[in-house]
Amino acid sequence: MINHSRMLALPVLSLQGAGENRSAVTCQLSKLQRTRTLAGLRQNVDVNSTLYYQGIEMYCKTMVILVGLLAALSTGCNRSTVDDKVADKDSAPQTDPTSSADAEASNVIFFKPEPDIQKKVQEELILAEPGTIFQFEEGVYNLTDGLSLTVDDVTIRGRGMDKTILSFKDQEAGAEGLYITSANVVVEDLAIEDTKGNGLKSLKANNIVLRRVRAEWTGGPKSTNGAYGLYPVSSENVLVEECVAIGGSDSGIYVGQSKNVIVRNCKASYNVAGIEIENCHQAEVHGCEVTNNTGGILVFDLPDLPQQHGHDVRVYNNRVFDNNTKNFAPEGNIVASVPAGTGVMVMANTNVEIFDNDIRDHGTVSVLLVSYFTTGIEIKDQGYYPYAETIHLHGNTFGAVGGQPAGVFGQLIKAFVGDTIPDIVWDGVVNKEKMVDGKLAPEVGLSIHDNKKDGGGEVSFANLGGLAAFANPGSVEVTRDLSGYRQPFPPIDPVSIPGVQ
Amino acid sequence: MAWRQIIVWAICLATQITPRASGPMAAERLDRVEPSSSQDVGPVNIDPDGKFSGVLSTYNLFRDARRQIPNEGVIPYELSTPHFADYATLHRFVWIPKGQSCQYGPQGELHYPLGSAIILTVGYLDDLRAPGRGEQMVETRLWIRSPAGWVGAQYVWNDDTSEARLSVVGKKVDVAWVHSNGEDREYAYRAPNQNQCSQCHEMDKQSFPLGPVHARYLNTSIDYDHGRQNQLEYWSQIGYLSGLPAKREQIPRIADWDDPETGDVDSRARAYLDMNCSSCHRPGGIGFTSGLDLRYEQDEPVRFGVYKAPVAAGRSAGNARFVIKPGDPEKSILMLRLRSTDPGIRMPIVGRGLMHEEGVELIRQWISEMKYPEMAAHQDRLDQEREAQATLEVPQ
Repeated sequence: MINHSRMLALPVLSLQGAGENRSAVTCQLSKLQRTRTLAGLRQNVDVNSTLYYQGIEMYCKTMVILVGLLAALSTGCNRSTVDDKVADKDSAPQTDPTSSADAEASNVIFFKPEPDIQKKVQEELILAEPGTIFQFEEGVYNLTDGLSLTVDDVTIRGRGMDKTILSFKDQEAGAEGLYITSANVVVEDLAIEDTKGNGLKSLKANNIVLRRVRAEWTGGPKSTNGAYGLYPVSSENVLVEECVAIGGSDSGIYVGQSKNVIVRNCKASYNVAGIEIENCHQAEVHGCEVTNNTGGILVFDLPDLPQQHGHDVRVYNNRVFDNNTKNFAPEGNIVASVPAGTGVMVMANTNVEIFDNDIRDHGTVSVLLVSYFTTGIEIKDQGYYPYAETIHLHGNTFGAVGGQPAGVFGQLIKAFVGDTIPDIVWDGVVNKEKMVDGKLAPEVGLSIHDNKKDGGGEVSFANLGGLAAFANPGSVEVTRDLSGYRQPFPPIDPVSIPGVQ
Repeated sequence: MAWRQIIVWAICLATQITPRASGPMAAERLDRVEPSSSQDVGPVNIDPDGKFSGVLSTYNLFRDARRQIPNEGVIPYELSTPHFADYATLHRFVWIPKGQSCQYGPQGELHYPLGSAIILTVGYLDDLRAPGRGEQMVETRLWIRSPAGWVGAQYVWNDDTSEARLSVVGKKVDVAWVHSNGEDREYAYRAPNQNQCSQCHEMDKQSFPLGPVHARYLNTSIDYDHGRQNQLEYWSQIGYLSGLPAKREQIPRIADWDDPETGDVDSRARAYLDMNCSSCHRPGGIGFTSGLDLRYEQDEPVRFGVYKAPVAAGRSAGNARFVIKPGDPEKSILMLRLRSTDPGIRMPIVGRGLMHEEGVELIRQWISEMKYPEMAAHQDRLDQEREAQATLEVPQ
């Protein structure tokens, strides 16, 4: 068989050894069809570049992917796999897919649940050429090992987060369900269940898109669940949208040490932390529904890490309510210190804008703003910046709060402020180097304005008094006056990921 | 952008895929050679471009693969501290093309000439107490020094060890043996898949072998047919190595984790962690998202885990707050991870399914005896403050 398809930039799987028992349905496009397809696609690329957001240098990679999509389409390999916006349907004549059984060229590989699927899937993931689309058909895939992907420009796609289920309840090896270490990968419309470690981890995987992916531990919140549902780390340009994360013993959705991060329209529940942004630069969380976690949305920065000083984080238009699940994180975890009943918590980040959220029904506190000092862990990292600084809070609606302060923080807050817990609590720890005449420069403190309290009334606040108060309780008065914090800060620029609207 | 240009780019992109063809995939395109178990093999046949064959016999590496008797020019080596491989026996060999040699670098790193090969066979002895009794070969890993750098492939042996075939997905192989304490043991050994291989053997898209690429792990004596000799000296003697410093004390040496005569507990534990952990836990490695650096040369305690808080350890942290709590192995995450066989907890993630009892014991002893009084005092002070805060009552 002559493999002329390479000449037309169609990535081809060429593993002869695995040829006999390939699970993939292979599709073929004649040379003529491909040429026509390429020409026909030209204008589509311009208007549809949002799907693959690589800008000009990614232009031709996008072409490869689109051509692959068309190849699948034109041979009748399940039209529904192709994004309607992308496909040029009119130029793609349909043929019977079974007639292309001897075909060698396709970049759509289909899987269905069947015995020994583990080996087949992993083999194809290893041998994938850039541009390949893996289509997992409906059903439950019982996997015993974690799957890994190291090839760039690959799409892993199911038939819906409740229809295509990768189940790892019998997992014997692998620290995660799906482990991705390559760039420009899209994972969408599938579920990853009951992994022994993390659900999906992507490391140094720039331009990753997780879309309509559900990561869940189906036995409810337990400390024996894996740590993170969806865990992109050390990456640039991370988009997590319309995903669902349930049961993580650390965080449902956790983006760490990344730049340009958007988490939007996701749902996180019954995790210790619903959504956590950790050590990120330029990140935003919006449109999410975060409920029944221990803590709702966390924006943290931790020491001793390659990327530090989290900054420029926007948290807006989220519904954060009833996050009162008992903390079930193992003691050693940093989130083990998050008190049950926390809405939004910021630790040691600079420039965080929390606005237009609906935050209600939390037993401990609606918004908690703290330095790293409150963890009680010694800071040995000279380069670490432990302060929570330049925090804007505006346009939020606050519902009921307090009533059941939990954990060390909860007791601490209660000890300082008494039984009536305010909506917003700040540890008051500031960087003395930024004080002028004994006062903190306004732009590095807090800005709290135009927030609403359910049923009217003032939004309440407490500044616990900073390190001095912690070292010598009672020596510093808790202040509740908001008048010094009403000055608006300049808004943070929205996160921009090339190609993402 | 001009349309023509797009096509050219696209073609370039498609052909650019071939770098992977220098890996195992390429082998499928080479002619297959019939299996051979003959002891009378031809000369070693390694393609210096790093093209891999579909079957291992093509390379003529062994006179007798079943007994791992190498062909002429394929010489055995050992590492002073090897990695733990689920109680497998590791047979290691190196081959260097005729007339060429490894160059000893200024820090003791070894620069291999093009076409060199590093070979590692994984086998299970029938009886760990009696190596001569028999052995089940599982896989052989082959590294070739190609113009593009080191490239590696994995071959999985058939049942009668007559041939090993190139594998990308690895294989689960049932093995059984009599353990060193006389116990019968059974295990499903996992020859790793290609992606798992790269987890330890790749950084920044460049793959590399571990171990014999630095003099420090080879600077030890082993038994040769002609007698016991320092490996580096032997390599020099037969022309496999050039540039070895005349002053032998200048050559770095790393302790044998299992031999107290070669170093104290600290240096042996650090050697063990360096070999088993540092391919990921080093700057730029995949385990560095936690900031943990387990390289032998890392001398800042917090960097190798002392009173270092976990980052994303999840349930692996158990009830421990630090990677290493000096004097308290049970409260040290490092210990808990090395001891566990749970896939979500155990370390290393790849290549270990059994607990390495002797290795764990060494680390336990190391942490038990470890003392960093100043750091400990500071941590105690922080803990006391925190406790005081948690119970304080402020008058309203």
